[in-house]
Amino acid sequence: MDDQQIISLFWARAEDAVAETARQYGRYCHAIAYNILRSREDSEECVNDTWLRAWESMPPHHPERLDTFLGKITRNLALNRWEKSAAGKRGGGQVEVALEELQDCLPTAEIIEQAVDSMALTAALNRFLASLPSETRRIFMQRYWYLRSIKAIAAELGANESKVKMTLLRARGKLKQILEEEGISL
Amino acid sequence: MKETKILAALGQVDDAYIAEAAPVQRKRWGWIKWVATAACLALIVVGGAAGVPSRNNRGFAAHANFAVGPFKRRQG
Repeated sequence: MDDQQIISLFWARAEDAVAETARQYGRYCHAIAYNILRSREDSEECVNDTWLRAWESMPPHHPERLDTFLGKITRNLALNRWEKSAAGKRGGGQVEVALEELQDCLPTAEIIEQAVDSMALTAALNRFLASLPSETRRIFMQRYWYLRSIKAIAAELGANESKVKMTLLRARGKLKQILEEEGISL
Repeated sequence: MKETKILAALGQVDDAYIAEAAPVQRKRWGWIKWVATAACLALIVVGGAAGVPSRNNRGFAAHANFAVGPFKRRQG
């Protein structure tokens, strides 16, 4: 079953949609979550939450690619979960909870401003990625999108770890330069 | 945190870059590769043993079941 057929199942509210998605993209999404969380149980929960989010977002969404659409959801969920657990370790969980509660008080203008900043940053990142040679871009994305270890990246590309580290160092330098040139402040 | 902002913004980059960097998933088919290799080796060993000429015959061609066409053995 191809992506468009699976998306049609979601739009038709057919329960098979989730089963078919899990069959085709379960391992892909699990790998994304596991790279971030390093816990099988948490990753499984994250993947199940991904199916729920996909169910809730199709319709109205009609993604062109299902793999990256699901991958983005999983990555966001896993990073949020990771952030909460890291904050929990730092402040016994209460600081994070309090901060989250206070987010409700933020004026709408500030939320919009944050979203615009984030969009500008993403646009700059797209330009930066477009400027990279294919192999460098793959290494950068495997490290910072898929959150893979240097060792795993080197093994997949058949390169040694020092080459991967050097490539990443140069790419980060280039990104810093682009962000400074475009006047993007973080 | 500034690093978190980059990590979050990177999450929304073009799909083409995400797909291009998708890790290769090999593990699932690993066992099939080993089974196929073992099966090929077994075929080579069995085929080789059957084809070795002995004192009583001259390999495949000497065996009635394999003697066909111009190489057919005369009966009697």
